[in-house]
Amino acid sequence: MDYKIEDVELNNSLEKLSIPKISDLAFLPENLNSVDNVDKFIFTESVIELNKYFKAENLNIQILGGEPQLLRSRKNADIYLPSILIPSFLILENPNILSVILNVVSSYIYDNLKGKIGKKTAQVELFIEKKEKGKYSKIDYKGDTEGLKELEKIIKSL
Amino acid sequence: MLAFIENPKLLIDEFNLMAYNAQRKAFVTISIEIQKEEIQIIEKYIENLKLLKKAFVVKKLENEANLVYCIENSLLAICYELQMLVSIKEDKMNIAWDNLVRAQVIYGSVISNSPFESEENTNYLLRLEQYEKLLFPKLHFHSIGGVIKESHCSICKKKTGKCQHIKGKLYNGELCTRNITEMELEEVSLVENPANKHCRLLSVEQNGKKIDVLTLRETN
Repeated sequence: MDYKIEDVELNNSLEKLSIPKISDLAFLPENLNSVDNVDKFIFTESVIELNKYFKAENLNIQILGGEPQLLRSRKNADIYLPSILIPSFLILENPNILSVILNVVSSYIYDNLKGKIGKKTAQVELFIEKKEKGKYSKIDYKGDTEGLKELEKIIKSL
Repeated sequence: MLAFIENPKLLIDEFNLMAYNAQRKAFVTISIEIQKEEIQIIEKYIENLKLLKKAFVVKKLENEANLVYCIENSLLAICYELQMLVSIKEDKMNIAWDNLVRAQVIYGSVISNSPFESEENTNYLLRLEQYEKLLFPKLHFHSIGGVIKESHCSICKKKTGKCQHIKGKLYNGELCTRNITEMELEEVSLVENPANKHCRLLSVEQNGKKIDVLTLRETN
C-alpha cells in the first residue's frame, strides 16, 4: 500500500459555497476547492454504488451538495473511490466507526476486484477532522483491501 | 425445461457436462470443424437457457434466474474462447483478440456474481489471462476519462442514483449496468492496464508504412 498524509483546510471552500460546517460523515466532490457553485460539483463515479453500500450497513452518509449531477468516469482498470470526510465527534462517540467505514469501503473494493484480471489497485482520499476546528488530515490511499486494515491504525495514531 | 424448474440441481449437472465437453475442444490442435460445431451446440443451448431464465423470472425465482445467468455466461465465455481459436486458425487476428476479451469480461461477471469462491472459476480466468500472454504480442491500450452528465440504470431505467440496484450485480438474471447517454470527454490516455481491452492501439507507423500490431502486416 501507498499513502500520503497532509494537513488541509476546507472552511474557505465551504464558506465560498455557503455550505455550513460539515457535521456528518460525507462524500466530497473532487472539485470542492475549485468551483464557485454546488451545481458544478463533480463526484467520482463510484459515489453512487458506494453510497448504496453505506446505506446497506445502515450508515448515514451525506453527499455534499445533495444528489450528484456530474460524475467523473475514468476508464482504466483501477478503482477510484470518492473522497470521504469523517468528523472528529463521530470517532470520539464511536471508536469502532473507523473500522466500520473501512470495512464498507473494503467490501466495495473486494466486490469490484472479483473476476478482474491483472493487478488492480484502489484509490481513496479520507479527510479526518482534527481537534482544531475546520482543519483536517487528508489521507491519500492507494492499494488493496489488505492495506486498508493498516490504515485504521494510521488514522487512530493521528 | 420443466425438470430444471422443479429441480435446478439437474441444470447444474447438465451445465457441468456441457462445459466439460466444450472445454475438451478448446485447444489449438483440435480440428476447426469440430470447434465450429461445438460453437453451434453452445449457441443453441444458450437460446434454451434464455427461455428457462424467463420461466424462472415469471415464477419470481430470482436466485434461479441468476444461476441461469451464470451458467449461460460461463458457456458463452467458452464459446468465445472457441471462436478465438477458430479465428486464429482463419488468420482473423483482430476478431480473435476481441473474442478473447469478450470471454474474459463475461467470465469476470460470472465470477463476481458467484455465490461461492471456486478454484475452477479462478483457474479458468487464469487460462484466459494466459492466452493473452502466450498467443498475442504485448499490446497498448487507450483509456478515456470524462464527466457523465446523464446516465440510467439498465434494470429499472431510472436516473443513476434514483434506485437501489448496484452496478455489476444480478437482478432476475440480468446484469445491472450504467447506461451513459451524455458524457463530456476530458481525456484519452495510453495505458497498460485499461478497463476496456477492446480499446487498443491497432497499428503503428514504421518507415512510412502503417503496420498492424497483431500481424505485423502492412495495413491501409
